[in-house]
Amino acid sequence: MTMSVWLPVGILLSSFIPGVLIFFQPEERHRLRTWLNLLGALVKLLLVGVLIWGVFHEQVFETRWTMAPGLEFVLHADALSVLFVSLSTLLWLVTTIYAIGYLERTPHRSRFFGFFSLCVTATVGLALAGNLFTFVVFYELLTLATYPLIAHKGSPEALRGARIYLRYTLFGGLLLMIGAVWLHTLTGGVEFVEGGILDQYTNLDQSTLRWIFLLLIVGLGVKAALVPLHGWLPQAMVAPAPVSALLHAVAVVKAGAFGIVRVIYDVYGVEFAAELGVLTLLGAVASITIIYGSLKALSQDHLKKRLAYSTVSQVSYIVLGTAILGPLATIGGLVHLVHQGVMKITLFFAAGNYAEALGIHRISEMDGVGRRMPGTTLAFSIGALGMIGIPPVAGFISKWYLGLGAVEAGAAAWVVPVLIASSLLNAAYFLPILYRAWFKSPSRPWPADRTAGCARELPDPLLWPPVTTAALALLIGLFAAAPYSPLEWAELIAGREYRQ
Amino acid sequence: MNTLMLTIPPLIPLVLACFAHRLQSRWWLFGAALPALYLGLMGEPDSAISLPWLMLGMHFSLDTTAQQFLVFGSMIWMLAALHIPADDLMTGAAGYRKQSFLLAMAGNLLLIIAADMLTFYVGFALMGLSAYGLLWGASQRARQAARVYLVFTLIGELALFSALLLLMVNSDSLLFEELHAKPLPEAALLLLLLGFGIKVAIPGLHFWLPRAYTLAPLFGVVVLSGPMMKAGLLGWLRFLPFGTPVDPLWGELLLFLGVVGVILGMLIGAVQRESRSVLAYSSISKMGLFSALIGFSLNHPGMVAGILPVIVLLALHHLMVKPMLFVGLDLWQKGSSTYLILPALILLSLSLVAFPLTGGGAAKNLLSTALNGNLVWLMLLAGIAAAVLTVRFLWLLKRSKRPVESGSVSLLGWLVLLPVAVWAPFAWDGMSVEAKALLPLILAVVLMLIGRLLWQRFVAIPLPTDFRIIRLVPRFSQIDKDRFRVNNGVQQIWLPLKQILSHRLTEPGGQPIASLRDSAIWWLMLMLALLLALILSL
Amino acid sequence: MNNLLIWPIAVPLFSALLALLWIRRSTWIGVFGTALSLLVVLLVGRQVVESGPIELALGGWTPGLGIALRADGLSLLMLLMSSLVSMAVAVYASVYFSKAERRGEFWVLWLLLITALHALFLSGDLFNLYVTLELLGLSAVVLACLGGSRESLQAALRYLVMGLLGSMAFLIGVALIYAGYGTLDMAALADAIEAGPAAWLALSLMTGGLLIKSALFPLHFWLPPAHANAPAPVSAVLSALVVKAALYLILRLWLSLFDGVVTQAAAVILGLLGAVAVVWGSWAALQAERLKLMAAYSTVAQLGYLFLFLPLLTALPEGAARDVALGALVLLALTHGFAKSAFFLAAGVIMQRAGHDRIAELGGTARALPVTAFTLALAGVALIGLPPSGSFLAKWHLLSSAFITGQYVWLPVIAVGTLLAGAYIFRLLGYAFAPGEGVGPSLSAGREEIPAVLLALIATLLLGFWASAVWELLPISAYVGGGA
Repeated sequence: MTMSVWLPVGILLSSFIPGVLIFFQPEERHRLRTWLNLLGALVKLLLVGVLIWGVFHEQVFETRWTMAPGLEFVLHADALSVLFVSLSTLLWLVTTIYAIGYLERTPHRSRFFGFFSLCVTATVGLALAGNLFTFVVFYELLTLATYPLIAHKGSPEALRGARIYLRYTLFGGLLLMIGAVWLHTLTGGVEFVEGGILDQYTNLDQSTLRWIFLLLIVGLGVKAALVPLHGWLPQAMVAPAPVSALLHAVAVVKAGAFGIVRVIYDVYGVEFAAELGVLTLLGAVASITIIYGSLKALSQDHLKKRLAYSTVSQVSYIVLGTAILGPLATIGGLVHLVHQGVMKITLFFAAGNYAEALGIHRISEMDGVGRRMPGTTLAFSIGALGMIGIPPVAGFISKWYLGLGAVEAGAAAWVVPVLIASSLLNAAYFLPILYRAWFKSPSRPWPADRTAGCARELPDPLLWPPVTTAALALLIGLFAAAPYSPLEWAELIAGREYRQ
Repeated sequence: MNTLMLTIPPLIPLVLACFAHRLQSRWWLFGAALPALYLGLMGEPDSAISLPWLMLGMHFSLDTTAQQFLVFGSMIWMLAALHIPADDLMTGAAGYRKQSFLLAMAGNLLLIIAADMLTFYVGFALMGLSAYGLLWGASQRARQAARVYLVFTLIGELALFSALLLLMVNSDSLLFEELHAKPLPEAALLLLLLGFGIKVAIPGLHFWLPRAYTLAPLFGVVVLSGPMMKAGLLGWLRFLPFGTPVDPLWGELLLFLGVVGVILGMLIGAVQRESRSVLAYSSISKMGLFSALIGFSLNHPGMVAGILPVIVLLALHHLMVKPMLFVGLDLWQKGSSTYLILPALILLSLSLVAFPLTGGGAAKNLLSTALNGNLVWLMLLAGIAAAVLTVRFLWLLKRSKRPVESGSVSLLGWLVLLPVAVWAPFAWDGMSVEAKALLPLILAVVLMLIGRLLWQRFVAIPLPTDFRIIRLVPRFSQIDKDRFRVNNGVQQIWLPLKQILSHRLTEPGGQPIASLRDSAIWWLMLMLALLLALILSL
Repeated sequence: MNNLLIWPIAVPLFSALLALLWIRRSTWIGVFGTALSLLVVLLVGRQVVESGPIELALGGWTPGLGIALRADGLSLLMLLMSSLVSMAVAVYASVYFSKAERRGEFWVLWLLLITALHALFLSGDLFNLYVTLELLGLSAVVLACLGGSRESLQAALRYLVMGLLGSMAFLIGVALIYAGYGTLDMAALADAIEAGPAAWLALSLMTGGLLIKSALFPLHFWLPPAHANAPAPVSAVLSALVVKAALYLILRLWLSLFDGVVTQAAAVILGLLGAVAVVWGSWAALQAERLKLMAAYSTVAQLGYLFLFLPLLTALPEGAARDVALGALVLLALTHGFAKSAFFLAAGVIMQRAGHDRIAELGGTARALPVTAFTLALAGVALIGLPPSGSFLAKWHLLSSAFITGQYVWLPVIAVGTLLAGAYIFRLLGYAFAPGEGVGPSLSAGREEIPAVLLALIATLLLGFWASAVWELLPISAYVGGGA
């Protein structure tokens, strides 16, 4: 009984406490800092393991705390939160290792790792939020925790990127809050319940609900980088590579997408939302985002920028899956939440490695890098192929379910062409990179070779994270139907959402 | 037999591909196809296995078609393995040929034994995309050809993906068995025609083919023109709803496109100046015939039972003959053992034009019977096209000869496969496969090749330098090569014989043997011999 | 033990006298006096929580004639805030003024200010309120000019004049009430007052006076210079506490005394002024080039938020919804009190270290003074109204009340205000966290940095997660009427 109350809190504290402790560590005690980081990550992983087991066996984990009349701080673990929590926890561990290697001998590491832990705390909090109020709280906290990470380098570009990020996200957070308050006043409290709650309030005006939906989605869409609210994401790539990786794969962008999933499934209820007619609009926006992001990515020479636009496009797969009515599309969207995270984090790790080892920032500088850094480039290739949707990498599974869902819902006429076009565009902007990396030979010296004295292509903490996540991307695709796989979870969630 | 055996043919090349950067002997690549051959010959017919945890649930089964494709496909893969240049086998070689080769092989074998749509698709995608590495070359034109190929492959793949989505929702099952329980959606049919049509190079979707065939390295062309191209055909056979009435439009369309392909291939092929191009357009023409036949069968559900096995037979025949022609052409151009190659090439060409007493002829007879008087004009047209292209091919053949020495292993392998390629359809007994009849022959080949491998190692060890290098270097340096050859048992027999023959045959005026006159004489002699045999057998 | 109520006033008063007498030890006396009054306030708090509102008639005379002291939920909350803030500020001031010549004056006035504040929050009749208001205003003015610079004297003078004007208006209002109803005891008046010309006039006069004191737009012009030019500890209490005193009185008047008189239209006028204050104050804060000026304008904006509540409160029917909104108002006031005092203290630290507080030249603050930079960030979070601060909850309920009453007109105001607040806070943080040498090298993490960070933590964490205490305390009311 007590465990069911304390476990969600414990999962939050397992990164919050190390984060706070790290803030007060002097810069030079990096061994202690490393231990704190890793300990926190491992403890969290352990706790999440318990959580997964419990939720699978239909145990209830819930913490409640009244903050103000009518406003309860609720941490609640359902299948959907477990999906997101386990993703964040796992990738946090990997990213922490990567960041330790990446930031070696740079200033302000205590600050960085402090905020890094807080960022993950906020993300996990988002995942575990049991009502809309708690979600808003963590949504704003995430903004706060990420801002210093983006601005970390302190250069004018970094500050500019962080400022733009802040402008967008504060605006989005505000709209989300207004929408949430409005809904709160109408219903007296918005708990996340599988299948939604709004269809029980038959007396509510439908057009009001549509307006609230718009507010919520625009508020969440800022973080999910829906066009035209995506402007901050390409700017935010000035952040250090581990931050970009976390930002694009787990924390910010995913938080937005996860929020949209929550609002549609657990607040409105997907059938009710379809009845309101808001899903079509959302689907259209997602489709436009998918195509637009890919088109923009095509013209970028800066590697991280291309990846950023790719994120814009890929995250909307999740939204698209959510916007299509039907369990199969739901599965596709949910599973892409995990798949995109694993694949995109691989790509950003690899991009960081190129910059770190050889000073490569632009795609035109990547000629022949595959021979020089085979491990990194192999990981990058797997991630990129997954993004295109080549089987058996994880991305294919998402695409498959999205497509099936679209056909099932009778939306094949516009969704499948979008998927096809997106795959082609993905191929058009990823395959040239792979071609340069593997098949071309270096045409000029590397911009800055810093690998002198390394036994392998890179130090271990930089090399292994991308390799691990790439292997993971391959394995969760290859064993998609195995028990406890992300797909299995997505199916479980979809089953519960559609009350089957 | 344990049904898990079914997973081995694609698994072995896949695993080897992971370690390909360490593999420096082509015998690894050769051996990767052996389990497939074994399964094709010895595998228990209609055994099946489901792996529900693999991806979205994978299903393999070994039906007759799969067995046939496995046997002949694996032989071509082995043949191709023998022709991988030594440069590409070295560690750090450009282009990642070994990896591409093994992955494409895995994909090809996977789709052959696939029992559900998704497995087939995975194999098809793996094969199609990996082939990029086979086609890629250092030259600008080769790279461009590879790129064009890749674009077409991607489009085909996505078309197939969309078709799969429609089919999956339509039949609510991935299995081929349950695919045709309900009539297929029209859109899915169109997408299937498009998706596989690219691989089969039906006119309009063929643009990738001629340049890929001319510019790719030999072993790439071998697998591309053989097992990989036929994978598209196999796709149609697996997916299309034969035996159930569909909108005749689709059948007509395919028939029309096929005929266009036959004519187009002939007309363009006949004016090509390069032997390989001629063979490429011959492929287009031939695949046109297949497309037309598939279209015809689609619209005549009643005749399917008779026609389809013959189509398979014909396809397998072509699967063997075309790569053999490419290899033969290459051997010829390198100038080795002319006295053997020329007749063999002619024999293969004859088989391609369905000359009586060759496998092609036999298959054509079966086809005529199966068609039961329909499409006589098409058969005639296809025959003319094949003949025109063959003549053009042989015409160009002699011009392209260059006096360069080449390795013997490849020649040997080619010669061993020759009878299989030419006469394989005779092994059919009353339309059912008796592939096991070929087993002793193939086993003998395999044993010989293994023996060779051992011999090579055995010989290589006592040499003073590091033997790993020795095994690679001979192909570069003439001195080592000669020493190597002298030590080689097979060569010890061949070399004097060859010297005598070549000496004698090139004596008058130092003319090379394969002058136009000579080849014409050889051809006529062969024709006479065959005619004689034909008459005698009657 | 009703005599308990006298101590929150008596302790600082006696300390002030003591400090005056023993000026050499004034620092110790000041800090201990403040600490002691905090202790007493805590004792009062325990009593109120356990046994409801307390009332004390000084000298044993019945209310209406003598001086009546009352403590209920609202006054307790204000008392707690003022004593906690003043405790922290006192610790800070003990460092800030440790070398100043005029520290004796400071501590005497400081203790007087606390006395006045506590008395104001505890007073139960209108005349006492006037007296305490005057005392508060005067001690604040003198404190404000302690900086000694020309600008600060000018600002203090303006402050003095405005404060007197406000007190005068308040006094006339009180006189009118006395003339009309013959009593000044608030509990009695709450029953007696009915709508009529006298009540209207009195309410307008008293409110008008208090509006000057609480610096509602457009009567705010005296505030930014006064708050920005005073010494940092003084600015902190001025912004956090002194303006809140006036607000407390407005709440008392509008919600319990004159609740039958107040009309929606009047409340909307105040709300509109508040709205303008929110937008204008935030905008001015965004334009400000100096840190303390920015904080001062931010105070103008934050007070505007508080006045936004008034039209909502009057529109809400009596009951749960209204109690919630009132709690939110108080919570916002409390959070702002803690956050703004933390902010000013941090600004003071920076100013002492760097010798200036020009925002554009603050690069390197985060490296040199990490704790202070952290304080600025935490306080900033509370000022913007981001979670988990108390102001987030308050803003939530502010929005919620706007939706319930259908007064959608306030939504864009709140939205714009929040965004502007985000803009000016993060503009500051952007400079503070940028690399640079504007602040100079760090010497030590001193005593002066700790109080500020504690205050900021109270604003962002304590008042966020334990905010429900506010709603539990508020219904403990000594007056009939609107729950306050």
